[in-house]
Amino acid sequence: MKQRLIIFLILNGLFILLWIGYLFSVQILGTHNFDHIIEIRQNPSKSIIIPKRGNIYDRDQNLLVSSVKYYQVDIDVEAILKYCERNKESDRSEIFGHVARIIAANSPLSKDHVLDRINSSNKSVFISEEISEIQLYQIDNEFKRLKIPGLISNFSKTKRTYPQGKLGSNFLGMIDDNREDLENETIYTVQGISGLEATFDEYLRGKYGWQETIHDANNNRIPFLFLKEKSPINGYSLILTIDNDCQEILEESLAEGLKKYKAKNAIGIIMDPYTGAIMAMSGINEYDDDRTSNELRSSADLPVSFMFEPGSTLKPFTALLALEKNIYTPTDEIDCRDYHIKYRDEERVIKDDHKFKFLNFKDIIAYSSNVGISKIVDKIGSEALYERLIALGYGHKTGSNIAGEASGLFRKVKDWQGFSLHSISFGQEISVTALQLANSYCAIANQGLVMQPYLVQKVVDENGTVIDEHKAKVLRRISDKKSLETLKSFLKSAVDYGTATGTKFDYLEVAGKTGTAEKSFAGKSGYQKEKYTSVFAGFFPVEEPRYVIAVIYDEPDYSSYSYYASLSTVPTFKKIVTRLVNLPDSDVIVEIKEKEKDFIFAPAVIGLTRQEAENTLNKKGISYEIVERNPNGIVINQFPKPNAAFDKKESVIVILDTAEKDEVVDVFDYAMPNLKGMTLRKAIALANKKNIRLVVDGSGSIFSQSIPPGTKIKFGERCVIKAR
Amino acid sequence: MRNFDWFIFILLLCLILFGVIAIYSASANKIGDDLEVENYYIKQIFWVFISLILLYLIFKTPYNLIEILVVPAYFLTIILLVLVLFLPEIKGAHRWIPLGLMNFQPSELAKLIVILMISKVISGQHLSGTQILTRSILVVILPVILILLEPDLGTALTLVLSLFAILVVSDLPSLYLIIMLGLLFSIVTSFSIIAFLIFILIFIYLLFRINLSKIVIAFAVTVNTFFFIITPIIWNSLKDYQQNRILSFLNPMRDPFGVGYQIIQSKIAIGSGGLLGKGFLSGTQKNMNFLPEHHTDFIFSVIGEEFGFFGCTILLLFYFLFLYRIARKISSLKRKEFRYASVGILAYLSFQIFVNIGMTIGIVPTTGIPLPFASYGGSNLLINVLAVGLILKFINERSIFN
Repeated sequence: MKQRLIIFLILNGLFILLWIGYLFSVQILGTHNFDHIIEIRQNPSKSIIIPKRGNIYDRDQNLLVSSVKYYQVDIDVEAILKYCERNKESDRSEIFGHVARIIAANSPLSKDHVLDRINSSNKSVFISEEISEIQLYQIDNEFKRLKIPGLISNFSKTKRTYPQGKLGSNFLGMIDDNREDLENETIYTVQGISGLEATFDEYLRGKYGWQETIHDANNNRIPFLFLKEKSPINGYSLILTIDNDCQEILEESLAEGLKKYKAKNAIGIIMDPYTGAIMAMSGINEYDDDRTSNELRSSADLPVSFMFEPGSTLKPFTALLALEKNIYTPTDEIDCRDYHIKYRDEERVIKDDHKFKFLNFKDIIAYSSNVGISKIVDKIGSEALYERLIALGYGHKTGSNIAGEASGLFRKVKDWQGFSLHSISFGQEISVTALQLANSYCAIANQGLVMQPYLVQKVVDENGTVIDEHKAKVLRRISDKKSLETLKSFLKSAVDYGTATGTKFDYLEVAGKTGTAEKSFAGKSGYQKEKYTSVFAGFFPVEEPRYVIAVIYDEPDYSSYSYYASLSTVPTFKKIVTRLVNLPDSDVIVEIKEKEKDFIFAPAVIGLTRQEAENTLNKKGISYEIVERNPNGIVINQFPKPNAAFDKKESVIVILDTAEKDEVVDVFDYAMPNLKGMTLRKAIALANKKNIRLVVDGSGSIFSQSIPPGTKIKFGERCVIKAR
Repeated sequence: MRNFDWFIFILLLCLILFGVIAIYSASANKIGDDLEVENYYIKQIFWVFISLILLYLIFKTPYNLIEILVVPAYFLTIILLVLVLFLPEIKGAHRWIPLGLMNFQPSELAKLIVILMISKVISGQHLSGTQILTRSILVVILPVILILLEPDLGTALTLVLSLFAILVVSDLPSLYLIIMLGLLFSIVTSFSIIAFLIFILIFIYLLFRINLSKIVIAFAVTVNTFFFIITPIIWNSLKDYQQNRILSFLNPMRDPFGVGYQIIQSKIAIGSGGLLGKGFLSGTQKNMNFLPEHHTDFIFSVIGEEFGFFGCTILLLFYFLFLYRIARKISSLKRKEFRYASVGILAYLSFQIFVNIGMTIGIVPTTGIPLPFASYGGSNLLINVLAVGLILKFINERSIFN
């Protein structure tokens, strides 16, 4: 017995020694090389991190374009079934119901669709590749809360989102995404292909980062701390000179006009004369309604690419030269009867539609006499006119750095023919772009500075640090103060009693010049019948101009006389001006508003049905005009905007259309707002909007916040605020 | 209580404490500064208290009473083992009887009761070798078959091994032991005729040494040769997947993503522990869930990963001291019944310890045997502590009689 027990003990001791020896070889000597197995399962692999493409904001930091990351979501049905096996109390169909409900609640998919998908297989099923970052976050949260396994998500793509819908689609441009195969990795790339997206692609695209990743046995990412990572550099954002409200007004007005005057194209541009900043810019084609927003974003930007003969809108520049050289004083009478000019053996008769006899210099501009201006230009000469028009920016690009800009057509002076001088003086034999026209009127408005027009005022990184900035740049100086002031008064008289009385205001001084130009044949000499370009360029207030506006209709309806600028572009111009000064934050006529008692506040009718809107307006005794894009639609917009003060004599314009269900995308702003000084209620509202969880200490107004303003925040992050 | 063996008891407490610490770590999931702990360790502590109370109670119960209860308990165990087969599967086996808060495992109870039953039936005076053999095999065969049906190979093997250990220390003549071992050897050596020939020569020599008749020797050799021949035939008649299953069982590395997955991950965990380990709670293999079942069967890998070679060696030395002390004490037990039972218990404890650790370091096939006192599991801990309690009682009784 004892002997056998001793054998037993020796055996035990031997086993212990054997095990310890084996442990020694495994743990200390490391003779068992598992490197290849670790590599399969555990070695960090590099994954590419896609940077966020920069946003585009208007001048007031309203978001115009942003990016949302989308994820592909799959459900690992096998994992759910295993989970059901383990937890007896959870029924499989009940869990499936939960899954379908969660996904349906956070995506456009229907509950039944999701259920069908899950029931279709016992392995992993594809659900959707269009689940946005925020939707995924919420789905993931719900899964975690109910402890349901099997949610698999992978980055699928980024999409540009346009919180303002189609606004500015002509210059914003669009992107194209691709998957490029590199060695053993597929890289997702995004590239701007038109508009600002293309021009500023370098800034917007950002730089890729990478990250080492480790996956656990369930293929979940493990957030280890010691993994190497190179953060991506998110794309820089653009801050435009565009003013959302101006842009909206311009687009609405042009769209109305295009329909009303049956034009082929409607083009408009609003600029700040003192800086050359483009505040609004739009070009609409008659077929745009049938185009998708993506087609619009990739089509030509008409204000910079469409060329037309400016017609009489060019006359003021000839007049300016005459004023500078003191050839005529404003009151000098000039014979304006038909003017017969001869060049070699040819004779040309210059005449006006409306026959004049004698007009003084000022009225030649006011009534737009071709004869008058031709006689004036005779005394100026080709060289001087050519140089002046070149100086004003015609015939070459303005330097605006806008994609697709055309330089216009303007022959060199040595190529001018016999009648060129006269033709050019009233805007023929020269093609210009809307931008060139507006920019040259800026020079009249701002006392002779030819500015470099620009659309992007700042490039900022995600913390708001300015990377690049456009400073207003004076390209050239022209003329002198006295002549320009006189010219301004000429243009004012065109509005006051001349060709553009349609845009006369009681309370506002406006200056401008009409132009009605026959359309020439492309590539041939001579003009097309019944095809005109109707132009108006002007600015206001005359004293210290704040806005320079150019409006162009291409081929407006001939039969209804809409081709006359005074009957098409001038009314549109007036609409634009009315709406601009009625903007809630416009201070152009603040003083006038205070003086006049007739100003009332516009009621809000957006979102109402036609009947409701009419009732509201009738009750207040406000006259209105209804623009029916869809007679059965609801009110999608109004001018003036709700709560804007406006002249009671003006009527409110109400636009009816089908309520456009624009892709509603939650745009998640990553920057922490500054809450200091806010009331608690306001801060909580703002925090809710940004999905920040506020922990409030105290009451009253906020004096401290745990996350400094401008810091990048995570979705649903907690911020402690102190108030007193 | 005068002769209560405190040394064994304190070693037992140390092992249990080691286990609770390891279970705490195994149920914790630490990533960065995030620490999530599941409540396994609390449940284990609860069971430790229950077990210690029962240990005290059994120590106080007069042995006569226990002796009377052994036979009914044996039949009750059989009934439970039958019953469990008709209960729904849990984790793919009919091992557990659900009792609301906990699952009870009758095969754990069977280990202790069967050992006590064997000791009882073979401790009578003047029993012949054949009697001892038949009686003990009769006691064991039914529970082993029932447990194999669950299926629970590990527990069944434990029972067989305990039986063998009891037989080794019993009055059974060496002949039977040699023949029993001989059969095993002839199966193992069937892969090579030379190995078999060497074995059979040693076998014949040993039988001659104990003066057996030539007829008996010839018979034994014939039986062994028969097994030697039949084994390859049976092997070849198996289907491919059946062969694969057996081969993977014996050598898990054959199938690194199937059977071998656990072993490989466990080996990586232990190997990566190095001399001093990665530190408490910091095992990466564990935290990343590469280690399956790390709070139960693979608790040793957690210890190996977090406490390294140093911790493993200390734990193994504790186990050795514990087994050594028990073996020393029971060698002087006077009552056969006590001796047999103690040896049976000692054998099953050491078998479980070595097989479990051997499994985690990849030199023993995976059988699902927990590490005594360290693995998480209520019924397992309870039975093991009770078994140690019985040994303590036997040691105490001895001193009373003296």
